Amino acid sequence: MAKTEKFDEDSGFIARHFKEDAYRPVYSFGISDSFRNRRRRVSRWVAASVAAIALTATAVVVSYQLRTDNNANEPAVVSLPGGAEVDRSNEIIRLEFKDAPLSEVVDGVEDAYGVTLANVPEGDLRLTLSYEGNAKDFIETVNELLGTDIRIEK
Amino acid sequence: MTAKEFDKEYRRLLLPLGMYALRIIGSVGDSEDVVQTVFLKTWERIRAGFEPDNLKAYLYMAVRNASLRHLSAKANELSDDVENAEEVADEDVDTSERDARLWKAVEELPERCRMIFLLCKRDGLSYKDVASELSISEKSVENQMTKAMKSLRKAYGIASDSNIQINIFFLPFL
Repeated sequence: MAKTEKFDEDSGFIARHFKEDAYRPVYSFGISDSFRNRRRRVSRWVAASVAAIALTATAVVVSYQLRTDNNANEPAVVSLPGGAEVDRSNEIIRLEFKDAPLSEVVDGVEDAYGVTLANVPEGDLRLTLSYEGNAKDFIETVNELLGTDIRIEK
Repeated sequence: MTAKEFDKEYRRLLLPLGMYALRIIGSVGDSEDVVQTVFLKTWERIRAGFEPDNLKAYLYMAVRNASLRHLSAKANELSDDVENAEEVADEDVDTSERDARLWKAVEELPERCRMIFLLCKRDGLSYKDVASELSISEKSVENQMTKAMKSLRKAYGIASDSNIQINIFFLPFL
């Protein structure tokens, strides 16, 4: 068959079946990697924060030592920086899950928002969801969708 | 294979595999379901330790089997054993890839142009009927169709009409 005839046949076939928005990706298989990368980034951030806190604490101790040596009667107010936790529960984060088991969703949410989830049911619950918002709203949405009672522990 | 690598292949092969399934099944919705499911199952297998030598060839075989199973009233009689299935012919893969290029070319036509193309080619309306339907001149319909066909020919990998005419025109002088 000549190529032009084949073209007519093939283009006719496509035209007869064409449907907008068909054959579009509906899954995001890269989600695991992005969470792994995010976890790596969070780990680095935590490591950097811990190092910064350690250095600050050392400086405060040295400063306190110097001040007590110079003037023992003067009370020194020392406040160490607290809260090394990475809480991003109020940040607006975009998450996508396609037919993901609940355990994967929980890991993803905990990594993304830096929270710990409690009351996570066991069993074969799966979720497909594209979401952008904070941790609290996300969990409320999941609870509504799955009929669960997952809570943010911290 | 990482999830990111698989995701890249998913986005690259979804449409050609969709076209392959469409040629077998003849329904856009069903072929789309079949192909999406094949990708999902394949990823689950890969996560469980399966390492296909040639992912593209494997996916074509899996889509063929799944499409035939979908069509078959005796679904259980068809094996799910993709590894031992006969490889898909290169010609079929080429056809799927050409179909995918045509599909994408139609998708990328300007909205008005695509509408006119589909009214003519899919719904079988004459230029006159399309002109009347859209309250435009027949000449406009003809122009839009020329534009559409030129894009599709380019995607298909053949010269446009104007190029063919020029070649024929110059032939007597060679």
